[in-house]
Amino acid sequence: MRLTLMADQIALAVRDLAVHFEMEQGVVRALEGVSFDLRAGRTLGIVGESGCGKSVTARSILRILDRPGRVVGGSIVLDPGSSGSTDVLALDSNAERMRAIRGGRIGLIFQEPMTALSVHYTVGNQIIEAVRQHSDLSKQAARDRAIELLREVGIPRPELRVDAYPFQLSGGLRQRVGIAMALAGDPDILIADEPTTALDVTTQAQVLDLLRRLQAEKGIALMLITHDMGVIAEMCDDVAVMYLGRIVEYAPVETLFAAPRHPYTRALLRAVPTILAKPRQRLATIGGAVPHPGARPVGCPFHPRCSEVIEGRCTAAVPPPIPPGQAGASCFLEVPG
Amino acid sequence: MNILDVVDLKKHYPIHAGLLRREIGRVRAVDGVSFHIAKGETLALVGESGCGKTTVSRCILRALAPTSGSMHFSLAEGQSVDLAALPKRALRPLRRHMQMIFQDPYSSLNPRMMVGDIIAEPLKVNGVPAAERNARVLELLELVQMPASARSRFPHAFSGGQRQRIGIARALALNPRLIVADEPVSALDVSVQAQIINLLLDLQDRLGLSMLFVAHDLSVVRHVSDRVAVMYVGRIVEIAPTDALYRSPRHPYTETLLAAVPAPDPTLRGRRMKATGEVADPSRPPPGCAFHPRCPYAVERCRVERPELTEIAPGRFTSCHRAGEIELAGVTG
Repeated sequence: MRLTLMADQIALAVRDLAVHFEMEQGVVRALEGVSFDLRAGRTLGIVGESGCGKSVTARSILRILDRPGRVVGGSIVLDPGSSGSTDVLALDSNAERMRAIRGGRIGLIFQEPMTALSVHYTVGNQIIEAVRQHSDLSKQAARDRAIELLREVGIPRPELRVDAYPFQLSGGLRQRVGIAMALAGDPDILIADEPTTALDVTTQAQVLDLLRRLQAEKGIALMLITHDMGVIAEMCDDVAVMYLGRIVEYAPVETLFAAPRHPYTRALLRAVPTILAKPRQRLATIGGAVPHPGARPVGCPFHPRCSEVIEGRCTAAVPPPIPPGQAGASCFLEVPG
Repeated sequence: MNILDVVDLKKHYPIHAGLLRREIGRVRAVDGVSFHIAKGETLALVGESGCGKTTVSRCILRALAPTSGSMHFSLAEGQSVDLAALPKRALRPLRRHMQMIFQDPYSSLNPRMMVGDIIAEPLKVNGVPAAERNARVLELLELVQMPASARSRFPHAFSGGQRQRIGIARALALNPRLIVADEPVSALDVSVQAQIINLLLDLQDRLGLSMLFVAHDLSVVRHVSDRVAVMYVGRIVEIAPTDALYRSPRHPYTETLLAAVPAPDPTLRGRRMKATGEVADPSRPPPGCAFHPRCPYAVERCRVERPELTEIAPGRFTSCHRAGEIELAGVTG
C-alpha cells in the first residue's frame, strides 16, 4: 500500500528553504535549509517545540512572512515536474498570481480562527468574499456556495448560521468556519497551523475527523503543524520533526513512533505525558530548554541537550540534512565517522 | 484527615436585562459541587472550557464569593473554618495556608523584582525576619532545582520552565496546607512540561503536598493526580481514584472525554468514539442530566430527572441514572 501511496503526485516541493530575521541584535536564522514534499491525498505532520520554525515554514509557503523575516534561499515549487510548475518564491508576494495561489491553490487554517475572521462582518459575507475572489460566481451563487461550505464543515443549520457574526459562535464552530474559509477557493493544498490547539478535547476530535474526511473526499495534500504527538499519531502519514529551524528526522508515522532515529525524537516521545500512564509515573526529560534561535549552538543545534553527543563531531559541525523524500535523521549517529 | 471539605458549592451570575435591570436568568457556573481533598493528596479537577473548574478554584481561594455552600478548610487537627462564611478581613491570616501556582509563568512574576525577592515576598508579608528569609529562599531554590545564583537575577533571564519553578518556590515558601494549581504546565513546551511534572511529583513525595490540580489535559492529570473529579456544565459528574477512572469510567461523559484524547501511538488510530454536539450553555442547561443531548446511552429518564452524584462503589461517585446497567470503555496501557 505504501508503494502506491508514494506514487501520489507531489503538489508542493520545498527545497533548502532558509529564512532569516534581521534583528538589531543580529541575524536570527529561523530556518536553515528545510526540504520536504506535500503529496496529494497525504498528510505531512510537522512537529516541534516553540521556536523550531514550524509556523515560519507555513508563512513562507504562503508568502505572508512578517518583517523582519526574509526568505534568503531555497525554492517552493507548486506542481514540480509539470509544465505549469511555479516557484512561489519567484513571485511578488502581492502579485495577482500569488493572490490567486493563496487561497486558490493553498488554503491556510489558523490556530485561532479569529485571526482569519473579521468581527465586523457576518461569516457568510466573509466566505462569500473569499469565494468570489477565486471564482466568477454571482453574489447569490456565492452565497449558496458559502452555505454549502458551512454544511460541508458540519455546521448545523448553515442557512441560518451564514448570517451570524463570529462572536455568536462557539470556539468549535468558529474553527469550522475557519476551515470553510480555507476551502472557499477550492485549494488542493491545505496548511493547518495548530488547528486544534485552542479547542477542547471533544471539539478537537470532531475537527480532526472533519479534516480527515475533507482530505479523503478532495484528495487534499495536508500539512499539519502541531506540537502534540497524539495529533500526529492520529492524523499523519509522514512526519517531519523540527528543531531550531531544521528537520532533524523524517519518517512514516508508524516508523517514527516504533523506531525513532534522532535522539531528539526519542527524547521527545519519552517526554510526552500519556493518557496510558501508570499512577504517578515520571517522565523522561530532556535537560535544559530550547535555546533562543538567536543563540544557536555551534555544531548540531541539539548537541547541548543530547544524551548521545559525540564530542568533537556534534560540537564542531552540523550533521548533513536528510535528502528530501527519504526517511532518516540528521544526526552524526547515522553517519559513519 | 481532610484538608478541604466542599459541600454543595454554588456560584451563580445573575443576568440582568431591560430598563429596570431585572434579573432574567442566571449563569450557573458552579451548581452544587461537593468534594474533599485529603491531607497529602492531589485531586484533579478536569473538564472542558466553561465547565466551572476554574470558578471552583477561585471560590476556594475566595477570589470569588460563592453564592452558597460551604468550604471547610482544616487549620490543624480537629480545627477548621468555613471559607465560604468568612468576611474578607478574616481571610487574610488564612491566606498563607493556601497558595497558588499559576498557568502563565510570564505574567505571574513581577518583571521588576529579583527572583530572590519574588520568592521572599510571601515570607516578608508574613513577618519572617530577613536573616531567616535568606536561608529559606536558598532552601526553596534548591527544592525546585534552581541554582542559588538565580536569587539576584530578574525573571526575564529565565526560560518558561525556570520561571514556573520560581512560581512554585514562591507558592511553597510558607509551607501552605493547600496548593491550588490552575493549569500549571499547559503553557509549557513538551520537554519542559515533563520536567515540571516530575518536579511536582517529587515535591508531592517529599513534602506531602495537598493539592487541587485544575487542568484540561487528561494525560497530564493521569501522571500527577491521586483522584480525579470530572466537571460538566457546573457540576461534578464523576469522582474516582485516578487509575480506576481511566480504566473503567462510570459516567458516559468521562468515557467521551477519554476517547477523544489522541494517544501518541499510531497503531491505536481510529479507535475513537465520536463525540457529538457541543458543551451545553450554563445559563440554559438542558433539563434532566445536562449531558443527555450528547449521551449515546440517554433514555427518557435522563431527559427529565437530574441525576445526583452517588457513591456506587467505595470511593467511586457518579451522577448517571444508568451507571449500574451500562458498560463503559476506559483506556488501558
